[in-house]
Amino acid sequence: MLSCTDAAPLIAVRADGSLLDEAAGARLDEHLAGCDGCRRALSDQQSVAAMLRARPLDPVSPQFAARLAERLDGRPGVLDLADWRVWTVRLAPVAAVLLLAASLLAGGAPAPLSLEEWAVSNAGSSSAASLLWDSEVTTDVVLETMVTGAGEASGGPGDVR
Amino acid sequence: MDADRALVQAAAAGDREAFDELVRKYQAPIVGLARSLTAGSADAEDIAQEVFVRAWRSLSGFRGDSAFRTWLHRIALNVVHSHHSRASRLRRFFQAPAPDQPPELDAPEAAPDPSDLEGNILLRDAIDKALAAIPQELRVAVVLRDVQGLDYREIADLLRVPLGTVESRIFRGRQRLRPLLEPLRGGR
Repeated sequence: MLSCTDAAPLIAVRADGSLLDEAAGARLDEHLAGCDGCRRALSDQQSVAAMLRARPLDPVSPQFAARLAERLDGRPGVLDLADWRVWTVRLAPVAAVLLLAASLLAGGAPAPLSLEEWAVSNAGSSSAASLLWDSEVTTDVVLETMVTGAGEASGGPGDVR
Repeated sequence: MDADRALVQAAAAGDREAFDELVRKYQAPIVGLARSLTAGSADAEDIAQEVFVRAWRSLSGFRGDSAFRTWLHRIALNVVHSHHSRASRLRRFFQAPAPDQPPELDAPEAAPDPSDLEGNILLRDAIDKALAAIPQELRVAVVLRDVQGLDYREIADLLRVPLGTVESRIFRGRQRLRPLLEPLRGGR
C-alpha cells in the first residue's frame, strides 16, 4: 500500500492528464480509494494545473523580429541607438577615465595612489571617492557628487538624504 | 523525432530564413517563459531577444541530443538566471534590500473574463504574481510543465534532475499556488 508521501508525485502526474504506467496507476487508485486527503490533493492539483494552462498567451511586440534581425546581422538599429543602457555601458570606461583624471587634477595628487589610499587622503572632503567609504551616505548622494562635484558638500552628515 | 529538425539543420547551416521561422514559432512561448519567471517583468522581451541571439550563435554546436524546444528552453533558463543575478547585484549595489515578504497579490475582485483583452492582462498578471511568490525551483518546474507544456522527461533532462524530483517539485509548487490562485477561481 502506497504512503501519502509516495502518492504525491503520482498525483501530480495524473492531475495534468499525463499517463502513469499501468502498475503505478493501479497503486495510486488503490491509495486514493482509502485516502480523503489525497483525493482532495488530486482535485487541488487539477484545479491549479488547469488555471496555469489557461494563462493567456503573452503578446509579442511587432518590432520583436526586426530588432532581433538587426542584432543578428550586427547592425545597430534605431531602437538600439535610442537605448540609453547601450550607451551607458559603452561609455562607462571613458567616463571612469575622465572622472579619475578630473579628480587627480583637482586634488593635485603628486604620486599615483590606490583608490582606497586616495579616498582616505581625501577623508573629510566632499569628493565622491571619500563618500564611497561613508556607509551613511546614499548612492544618490555619491552619484550627485560625481556628476556635480558638489553633492552634499555644504552640509554635515545629518543632512545626508 | 524533433518536429523542428529540418528547420534547425537549415538554420545551423546559416539559413536565416529558417531561423526566422523558428523565431516566429517560439517567440511567444519564450517571452511567456521569461515573463512568468520574472514576475511579469517589462524586460521579458529583452530576455527573449538574448535567448534567440545566443541560440543563433550556438546553433552550429547543437547536436540534436534533445529536441530543439528543450535546448531553447535551457538557454532561456540560463538567460533568466543571469538576469536574476544581475538584478540581485544591482539591488545590493544600490542598497535596496530584496523584499522580505512575497509580492502583494492584488488579485482582481472578480475572476477576470478571459475573453476580453483587459481581463487577459489582469489574469496573466495575477498568475505571474502568484508564481513569483513561490520558491524559484518550484516555480521553474511548474511553469515548464503547466504554462509551457513540456513533458516530465523533457523537464528532467532540461534541469538535469531525476524524474521523481520534477514530479515532487511540481506537486509542491501547485500546493503552494493553490491558495494564491484561489481568488481567480470565481468565474470557473
